[in-house]
Amino acid sequence: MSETKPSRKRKKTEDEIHPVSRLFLWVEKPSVHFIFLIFLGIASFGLGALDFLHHRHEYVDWAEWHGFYAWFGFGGFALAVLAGWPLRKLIGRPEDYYEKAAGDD
Amino acid sequence: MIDALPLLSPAWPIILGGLLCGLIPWYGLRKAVSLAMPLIAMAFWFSVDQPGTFGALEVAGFTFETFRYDGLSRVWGLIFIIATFLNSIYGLHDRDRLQDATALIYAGAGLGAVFAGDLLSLFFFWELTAISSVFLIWASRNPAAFRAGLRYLAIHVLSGVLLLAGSIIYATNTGSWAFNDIGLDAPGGVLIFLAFGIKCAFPLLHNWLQDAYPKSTVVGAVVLSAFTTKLAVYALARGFAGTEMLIWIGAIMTAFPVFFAVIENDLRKVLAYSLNNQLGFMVVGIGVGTELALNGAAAHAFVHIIYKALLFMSMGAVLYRVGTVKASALGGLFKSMPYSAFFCIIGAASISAFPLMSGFVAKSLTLAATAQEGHWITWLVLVFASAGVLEHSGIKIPYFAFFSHDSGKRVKEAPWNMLLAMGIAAFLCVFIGVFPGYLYAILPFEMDYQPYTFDHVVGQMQLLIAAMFAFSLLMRFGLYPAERPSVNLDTDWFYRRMGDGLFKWAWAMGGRLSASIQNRFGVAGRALTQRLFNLFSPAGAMSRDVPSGLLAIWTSVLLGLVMVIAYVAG
Repeated sequence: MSETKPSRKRKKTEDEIHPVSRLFLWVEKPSVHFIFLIFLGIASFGLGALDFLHHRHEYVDWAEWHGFYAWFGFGGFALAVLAGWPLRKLIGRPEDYYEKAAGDD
Repeated sequence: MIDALPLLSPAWPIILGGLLCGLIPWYGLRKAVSLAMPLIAMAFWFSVDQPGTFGALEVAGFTFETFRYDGLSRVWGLIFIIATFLNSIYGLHDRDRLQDATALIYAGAGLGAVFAGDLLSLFFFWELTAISSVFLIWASRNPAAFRAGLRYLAIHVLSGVLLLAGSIIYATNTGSWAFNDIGLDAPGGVLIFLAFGIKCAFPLLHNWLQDAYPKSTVVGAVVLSAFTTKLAVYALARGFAGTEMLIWIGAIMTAFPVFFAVIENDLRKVLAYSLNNQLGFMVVGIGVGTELALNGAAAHAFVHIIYKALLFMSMGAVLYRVGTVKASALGGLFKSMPYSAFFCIIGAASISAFPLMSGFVAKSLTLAATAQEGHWITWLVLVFASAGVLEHSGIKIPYFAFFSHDSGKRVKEAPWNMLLAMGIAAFLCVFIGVFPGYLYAILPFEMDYQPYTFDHVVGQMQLLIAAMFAFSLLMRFGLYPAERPSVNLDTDWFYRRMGDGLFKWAWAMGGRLSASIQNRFGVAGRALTQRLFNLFSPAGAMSRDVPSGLLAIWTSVLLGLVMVIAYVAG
């Protein structure tokens, strides 16, 4: 049976992959993504738990709370990303927004 | 051999190189000059072993101090020279003569400003950076870049005008043109502060950066990322160290770009926002003003120039090969550009301040100094901004360009010279991270600081790994805003849209007024309106097109004001 057009195209793009990159194609697998997620979760809790074994000395008292940086990193990152939704609604415009006005961009 | 060199500012060979490049039509010779001149400048830098002021020029009874070598200028001078050399390597494939010339003149002007010992020399080089760098934007040779360049030039000339006005007032009242500690309370101090603030992209004055840099050429953006803003940081450190207002300005600078960068689709614009964020850390350090904090600002500027250049280089390589850096059109490029992806990840890890990377050993100085001095709210903002850095530069840049969904684009790897420049920059990121002592040794003040403590490493890893965990979770549950072709409004809206709208409204009202005058006063009215048209119309004497004309008029008005001030003050 002859190959369909999309599969030929896929084969062509696969042929063009850099030889070095072929060694790292596993990073695309969904299972790897899931394992990475689990690893990061365990590592976050593990690093936070280290504070129970060793008291961190900080200039700021409340930074000595157990897992302070882990909680703050997680919360700060999530805040920044989630704020993107309302912010985009507020200030996002079509790509040609300035172009329409002034022949720009 | 180095001892035999004259004690001249390293700026001169680089500026001379730029002028030569403008004259040399042969590509190979031009590139040889652009590589050789930074090396000669480096030899000039090494030839000085004691702090002092050298290279004084007497012009019309005024002494221009062109080479003030001390703890502060030394570190900035060195990194500017290194950046110039890296830029020259990165641009080896480029055959644009104008760009070769202006890139070197711009870098030399930045160096000249850093080594300037008096305010007039500073002003001269300050303006030269503005005028030479705009050609790196115009080198894109498209209408959007041309207009952005005009806006950029107007804003930077305004900065120069403010600097000159402030300097004249300062010198007239104090009797000294020396560029040392100025402070806000000094006569003219506020004007000089504003001049530095514009170039440093203070909040609300920042948008020239996101407007212009992403419209520059592949090489131009890399060159631009190194000098202008870091020169402003240097000038603030020299003139306004310990100014408390800077702590708050810097804190805002670190935080607000984080939100803009999340929803930005143009990855070079993301890097421009990231630049703003990084400058904030340095500005906070200058505001805190202790020796540790100033060392922090200097160290941060040093490492930042390298890893930011590296990130701009990697995005430049993507732009060069793919033709776009819109995140919505990219993804999966690690399959065709693995080395670029690797170097980009090194830059991303450095700016995120992972242990063993240069950002880790530099940023911590500022954070420690801020906490030491009891600025807890600012410290908290800086910690938040550190998580933000990981978001926009640590993850977003490499992830959406090289990984994410496969866009199916298969291109060649970057040219060898780009890879070489990226490789050297990546090596420096790791080298400084592993051996921070070499960086600490050239900072303005001696210090006893150990970045690799258990507390610091664990705290930083907690922050970064938990933030990466948050990213993975948000992606898994579809909560990360998808990359979309769009633009986001920022302060440039006021002059690109509202100002334009106001102008059109005023134009329409003017038309009605003109018609009314003609109806009422007949021939005399027509003559008057014709004269006004000839003067102010877009094709008239005052301006040829709307934005450049208006900005040029305002700049002229400000220049006129400076002359009035100088006359009154004199």
